[in-house]
Amino acid sequence: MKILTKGRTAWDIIARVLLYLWCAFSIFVFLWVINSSLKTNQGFFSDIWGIAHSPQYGNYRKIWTTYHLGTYFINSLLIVIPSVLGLLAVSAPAAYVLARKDFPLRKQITNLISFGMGIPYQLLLVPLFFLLFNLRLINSKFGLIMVYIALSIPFTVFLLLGYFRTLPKSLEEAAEIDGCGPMLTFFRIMLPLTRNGLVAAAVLNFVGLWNEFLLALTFISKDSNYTLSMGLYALQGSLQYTGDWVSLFAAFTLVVIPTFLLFILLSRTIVAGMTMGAVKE
Amino acid sequence: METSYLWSGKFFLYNHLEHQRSFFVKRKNTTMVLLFLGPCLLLYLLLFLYPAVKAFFVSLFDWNGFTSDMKFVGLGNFRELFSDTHFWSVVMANSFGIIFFGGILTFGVAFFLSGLIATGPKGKKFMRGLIYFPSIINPVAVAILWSFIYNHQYGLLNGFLRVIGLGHIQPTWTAPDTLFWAILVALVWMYSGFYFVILSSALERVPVDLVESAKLEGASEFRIFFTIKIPMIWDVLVTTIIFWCITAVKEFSLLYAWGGGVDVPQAGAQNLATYMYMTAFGRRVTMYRMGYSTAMGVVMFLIVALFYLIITRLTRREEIQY
Repeated sequence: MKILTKGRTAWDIIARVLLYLWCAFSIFVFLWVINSSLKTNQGFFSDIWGIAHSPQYGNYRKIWTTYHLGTYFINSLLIVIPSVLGLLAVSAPAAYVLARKDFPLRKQITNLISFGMGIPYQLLLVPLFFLLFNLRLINSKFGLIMVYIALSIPFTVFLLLGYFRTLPKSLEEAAEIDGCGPMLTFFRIMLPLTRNGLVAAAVLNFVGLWNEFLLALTFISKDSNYTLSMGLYALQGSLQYTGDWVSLFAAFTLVVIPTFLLFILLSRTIVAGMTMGAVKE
Repeated sequence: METSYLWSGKFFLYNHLEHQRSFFVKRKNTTMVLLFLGPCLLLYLLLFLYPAVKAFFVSLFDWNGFTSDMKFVGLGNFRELFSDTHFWSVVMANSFGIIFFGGILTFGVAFFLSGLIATGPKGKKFMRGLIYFPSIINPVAVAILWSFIYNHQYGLLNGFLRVIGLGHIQPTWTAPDTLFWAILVALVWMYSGFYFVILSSALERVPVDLVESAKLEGASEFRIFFTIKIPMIWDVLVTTIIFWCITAVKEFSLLYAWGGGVDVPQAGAQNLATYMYMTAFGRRVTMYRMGYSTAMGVVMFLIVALFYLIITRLTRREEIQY
């Protein structure tokens, strides 16, 4: 049943409208939240559709300082950034030797690490809690960082393994002929060549850990150490109870902004990360 | 005779030297492997694999965690769990509901949107980003966002109904009997973007000429999708389905944050992950049943393993080369 001369059917049109609706819904919701975050509570509750004519930037100041979202924000940075750096520091060398060196048990170790991707980490929640408890690492940022690194190893090693495997063998051979030792070869040649893979691993893990909730909730209980997810969770309870919705809208906006910025910057690096390779064989 | 003796001696010497050389090369290699693999493996074994293995042990005990008094109960925790009606009628029902209905909806939306994006509408790049974005928002924030959408008095949905003149219909979206479905919609909104990106980039790699020639022979879009596109992206699809099962059974944040700081989520927001967390660490209702909770963790692991086995068995097909 062709309706338009271009060969589009009615279904095509309906489908396209649905696509636009899906997108419009998301845009509208985000704009609504940002708009509402700049209103007074009175203004919001009297008309949920009204435009914020006199923006209340004080909402943001209040949530940042009075409600300590700033502290949680900094805590999250202090936990997530070292986690990601530490994770890359242990995973990249490991992935490199697993991908390119020959040694006994290599295949078994690779499988052992990949196996971790299939384990839901709820399985180890209780034993890990008591392990950390005995190591005096409960309620500590350092403890949470170690957990984040350990639990992200399988995915990260697996991802980087793929990148290291694509590099041509001739690179190492050429380096060896030129008298470059294996260490130097790794740091000066192989690592820079997998830059895209490292960036992809860093970004994906950053987003994942920035949004992580369960582990933080389990291993941190002191509110001075709360991460953003936990802080937001605590605020949600108290602010909805007191009816301070506009502050909660502001909190939502502040939590989403870093992910949004990263997302704007990242979309290109991820694509670049997929089309990699230095020497084409 | 003599020469052959000499030759074999030479050979021996040569062999010996070669052996020594490779020994040194190997040793150098070994140091590097140990140095490079050591820290990673150590952390992984200590903080991941060791507690994971220990979990199976802990699940056999009745233990409140803070005393050294661990009572061995064998499979008692599992027996109690399986005879608990709440566990089946609420917890498992919701977990499997998320896996199946959530999966169908998420993959349905992802396929649907990627099919549409492939037709190249205006603003394709922007829309692609917009569809993906919810999957990287903090799930606690997503829970807050959707509680605003569903709110009875000031929520977006009911507000919208008022605007279009349906003000007399003001459903309580998060009433106990609809709560699960309300959350499921939020989950699908959040997750479909991720699967959309993976599936649409896989679909884009399907050779155009195949699709074109099928079109010329008069195959419908529907038929092309199921007989050409799906088989072509089969391996990607299987991987993403397994990934979905793991994600879905693990789903914690959105459901737990839904209640808004209330420690015991309502029945509609309880699944295996939140129930096991509450059983072990719930702060307002103190149960501290570590063994019982870990038994649920083991069940979760077994579900993932079972799905993995079923899906890889069911979907074993010849790989299509193109």
